Amino acid sequence: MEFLRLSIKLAGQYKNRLKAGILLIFLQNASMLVAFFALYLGFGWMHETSEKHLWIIFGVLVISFLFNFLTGWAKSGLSDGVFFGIFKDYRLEVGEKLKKAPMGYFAEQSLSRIMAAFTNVMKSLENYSAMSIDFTVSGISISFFLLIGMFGVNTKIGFLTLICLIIIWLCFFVMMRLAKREVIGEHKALTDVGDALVDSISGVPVLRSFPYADKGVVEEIHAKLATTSEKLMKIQIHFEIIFVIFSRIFSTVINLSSLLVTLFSCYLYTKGEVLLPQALTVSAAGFMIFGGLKQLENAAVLMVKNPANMQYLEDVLDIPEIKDGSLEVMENKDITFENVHFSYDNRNSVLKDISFTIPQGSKTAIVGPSGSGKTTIINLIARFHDVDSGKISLGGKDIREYKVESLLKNLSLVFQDVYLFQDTIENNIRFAKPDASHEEVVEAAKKARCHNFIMELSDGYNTVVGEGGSSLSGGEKQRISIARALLKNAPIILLDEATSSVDPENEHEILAAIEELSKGHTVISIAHRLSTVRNADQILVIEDGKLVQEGKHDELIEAEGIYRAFIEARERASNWTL
Amino acid sequence: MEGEKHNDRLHNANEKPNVPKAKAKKQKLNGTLIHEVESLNLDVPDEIMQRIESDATQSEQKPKISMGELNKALMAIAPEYKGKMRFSIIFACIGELFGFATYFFSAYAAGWLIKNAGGNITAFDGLLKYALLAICSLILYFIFTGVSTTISHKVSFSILSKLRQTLFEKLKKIPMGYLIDNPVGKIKVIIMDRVSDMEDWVAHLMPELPSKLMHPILCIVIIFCLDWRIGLSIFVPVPIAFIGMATMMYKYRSRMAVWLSSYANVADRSTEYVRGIPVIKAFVQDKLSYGKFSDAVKFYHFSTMKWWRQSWFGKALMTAAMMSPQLASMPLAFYLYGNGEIEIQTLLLALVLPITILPQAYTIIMSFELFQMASNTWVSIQELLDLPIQKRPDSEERVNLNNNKGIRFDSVSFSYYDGVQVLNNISFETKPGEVTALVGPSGGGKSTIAKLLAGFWDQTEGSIYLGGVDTREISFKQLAEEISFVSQDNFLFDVSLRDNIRLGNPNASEAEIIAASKAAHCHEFIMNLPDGYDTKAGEAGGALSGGERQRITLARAMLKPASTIILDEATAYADPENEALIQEAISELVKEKNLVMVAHRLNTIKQAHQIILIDKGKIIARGTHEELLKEPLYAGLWKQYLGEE
Repeated sequence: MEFLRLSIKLAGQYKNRLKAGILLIFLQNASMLVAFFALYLGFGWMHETSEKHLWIIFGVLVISFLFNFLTGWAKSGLSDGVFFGIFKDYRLEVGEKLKKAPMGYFAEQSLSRIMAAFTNVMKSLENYSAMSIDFTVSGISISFFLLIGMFGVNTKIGFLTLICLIIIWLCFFVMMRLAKREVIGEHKALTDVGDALVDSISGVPVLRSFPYADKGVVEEIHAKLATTSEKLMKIQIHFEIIFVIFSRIFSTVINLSSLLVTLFSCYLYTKGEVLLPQALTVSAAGFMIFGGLKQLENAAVLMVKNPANMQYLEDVLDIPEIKDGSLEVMENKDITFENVHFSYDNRNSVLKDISFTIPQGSKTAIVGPSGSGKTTIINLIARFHDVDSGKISLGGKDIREYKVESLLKNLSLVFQDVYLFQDTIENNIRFAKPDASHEEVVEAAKKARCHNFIMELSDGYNTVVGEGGSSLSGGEKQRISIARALLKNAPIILLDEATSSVDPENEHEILAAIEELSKGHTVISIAHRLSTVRNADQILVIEDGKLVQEGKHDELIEAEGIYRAFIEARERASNWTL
Repeated sequence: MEGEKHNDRLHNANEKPNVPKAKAKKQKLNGTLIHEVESLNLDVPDEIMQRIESDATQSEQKPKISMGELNKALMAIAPEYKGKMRFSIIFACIGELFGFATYFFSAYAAGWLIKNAGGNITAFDGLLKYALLAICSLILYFIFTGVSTTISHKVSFSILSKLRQTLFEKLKKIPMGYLIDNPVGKIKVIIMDRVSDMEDWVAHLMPELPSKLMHPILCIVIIFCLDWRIGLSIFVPVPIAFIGMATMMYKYRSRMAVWLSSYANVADRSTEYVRGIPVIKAFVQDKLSYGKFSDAVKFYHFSTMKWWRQSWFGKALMTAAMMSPQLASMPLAFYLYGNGEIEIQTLLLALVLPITILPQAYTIIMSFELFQMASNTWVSIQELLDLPIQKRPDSEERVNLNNNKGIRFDSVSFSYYDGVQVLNNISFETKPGEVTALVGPSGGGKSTIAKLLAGFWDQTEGSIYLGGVDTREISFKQLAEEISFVSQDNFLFDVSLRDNIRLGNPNASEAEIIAASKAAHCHEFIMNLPDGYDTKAGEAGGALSGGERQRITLARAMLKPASTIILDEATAYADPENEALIQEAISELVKEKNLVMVAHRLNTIKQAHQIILIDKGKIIARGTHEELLKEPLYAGLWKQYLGEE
């Protein structure tokens, strides 16, 4: 019932069609009542059935059949496709909402949850919602018409039927409860096994390389997988068996009900309270209609899954909206941090009281141990998140006063993980500037040092890359993303130099591409290369969220401190020989 | 389900070579499908059309499996449960038989009513007695089916659990290259999700289908036995149902193909839209990307609704016909009874039995759909089960390696399963205690040589010798003892850090562990953890950076008394703060060992005894740094390296 309510709530513009559909499903089962009537007629005439009677009964059944068919047809037209419409609207609406969400929202974890909501969850809902509404409403209406029929025959039989129905529905609700417990318990157990399994799979190569680990350690390593999968199996067996045994009870109760109704009508006949045709009709019809309720067994699992899925949608797609400003033009491109504080969770500060200025056209390198907050600084400039206190300004105005779109138009982000669309390479580059000519694209590609490898691909610029760019190496993807940034030609470049995900052989090419990109622009980079740091106009040294050193290479290298240690470590690393 | 792209493939073995003849046939089949899709007048967008084509081709190539074969394959996973499964199926059938009791009781009750018609009621007790009998058989129905279900579920979930275990055990025997080349997530999806997808089939249908099938068949048989005319009359609505089905199925194949592909398109576009949104926002191109996404969503809705609208009539007709099996049988039964041709009991059964066929029929139809899903799923599970295993001597067998001999590659070639040749006729030799460097452009095959030596793959041709012995004659255990393969991998088990390090040598003393940790530059930060060496790696979790984890794995490698070290881009992914420390740890590790390294910074290997230059799977040149500078490719690489600094 909860599900019916949720569905109607979700239906939006389809609300009335859905309601009408539900009404028709209800009516459709009245055809049972007509068949019931045919039985009654048949038993009334049973000792003198002539051909005429035969045709009348047949006629009544044909009416029942036609009624069933017509209501079914109308119902399909009204409500079967409704859920596809509902989820079409829903998908589009959420798609719109995503555009307005702050970038920080798209952290890896929420991405995969949003994706699950978009694909599997919505698919399951649009395919099975109509079915489970069908099952439930049918169940209700069968019970309803059964009661009408039985009360029509005899009040006492009617009451007995009512009692039986109450028991049957109680069983159904218990079954739903059980199914719910099963779904939740099993889901958790499955996740646990999955996690343990990932650990174990990753460990297989290690165990194969270190074959004489002691038994104890190996056992401890495998213990988690063994206990979690044992637990999963137990939970599955336990819940499933209870559930399935209950569904046996359910169908036994249904059979028992029709048996009792038959017996009771015979008894009433001996008391002279019902007539022979009535008693016979009741015995035969009981099966027909109680039998219809067995479908509910199939509904129980769906009835649990669907509301759970709807809840999931509601939770996941509660998407925050970024506060947009109104300014579009900036006077200059100077960037200033004033006493910026930031934390992801309002507890653990990531940045503490950071202040600095980056003049237009200058090159700034950010240096510091991993986890010190370097990436956060860059992300804040692009408004992935907003500062907790303090202010970041661009051209003298707080970045929150600009339209997000205008702000982002001034920034080029070149990060470690590069996303390419499943499209041709040319379109992927052109993405930065949809009206760019082929020549412009090629020029950007040449500058970004990707023209050569593109030409070596089977279809050159028309080669379609896999989703996420899977068919290219990390370094190649990175260079394509630089070509993109070159085409965009934004005045401010935000750059993460980390070489991770880049094969070392590509380093040289990437370096050249980045140099091309940096020409004449403001560049803020998380620096790893000595050359970047040496040539920077300004170096910011970050440690534990604080700005600890600031200045040029020549000044900083003189002083004892993190910077000098960093440079020394880098120098040692590049002179390493074996 | 079938529409979802199964990206579970571990290799593309089945997709490669195609006999021309089969290809021609396939193209024809696809041709008619495409033609049919075009005749639907749906204005199918190109990208969906392409998808339909490639899906059709793929499904042609997918191995097919029959219901019997699937069940057999499943039972082969856990043959010890075969008896129990059979037992459960038989019990379910017997239970189902007892379920018929109620029908017979109502027939008897009707007879009793007729006998007592006219008012002289006798022997209600007799009726009660039969009612009790019927209740008893209902209880038996409950017991038998209950016992059957209990057993079958225990068996089924044990099978699934065993299947997961078998798959996991298999991972320990397949070439390790698979584990390294395939993301863990992909393998996990097969072992967890795909096996879970089998659940409906294994737990419900495999044990229950026979008894579910038995019910309607038995009903029909009984009716025929009672009176063949009534038996025939049950089939009167069948032609109507067929008409309904035929309209429903009209152009079904092409419509289904469009539907599946347009859904797959929605899924891909949504994924791309969501995943790409940081890029989309960064380039302020939301209109363009949203447009693609919304077009996919709209077309999916449009094509689905078009299909559904066309099938509503047929669907309603079929459902109505299926719900009216009594359409002809009821009037006929009454007529026959009125003419005294059948008994009242027969009449009742003829009225009741056809109707009970219905709920079962639904389950049976559903089960065919579930079978389709299960068999598709099984194909990807089977693929993992069928992966080749490497043949090596038993782990207890040991061979004597000649310490005066190094490594020798003798005409080694290697191709992956997709037939792409990676190495072609590689031969070289190293002397013990020397440094050998493999250099060359990326993708040339350097890493593959290192992996073949470590036994991650088996070479397709030629032989590899270690200490004068063919590596295929050395047990995995012994080979692993001799060779340390050090890459950027930094996996730690969720046991104490001490145990993680001690994996390298279970007999190592505390002092040796600490010495190794110091050499690997990890002693200091380990001591700063609250529990020191007793900290579990999982608990330390976020506290350890990638570089720190890697140094712990290096300490582990140091404890292992291996004679040969292979370095494969071990410092490539280290963060800059850690790189120098990791390098120092490695220098410590390789002292006085045979060293083979895949090098990317040529500076590192300037002093190597032997540098082997590899490009496009072949050895281009070999020699010392000075000698190789004459080689244009090497000179180019060297120049490039110098330019970087």
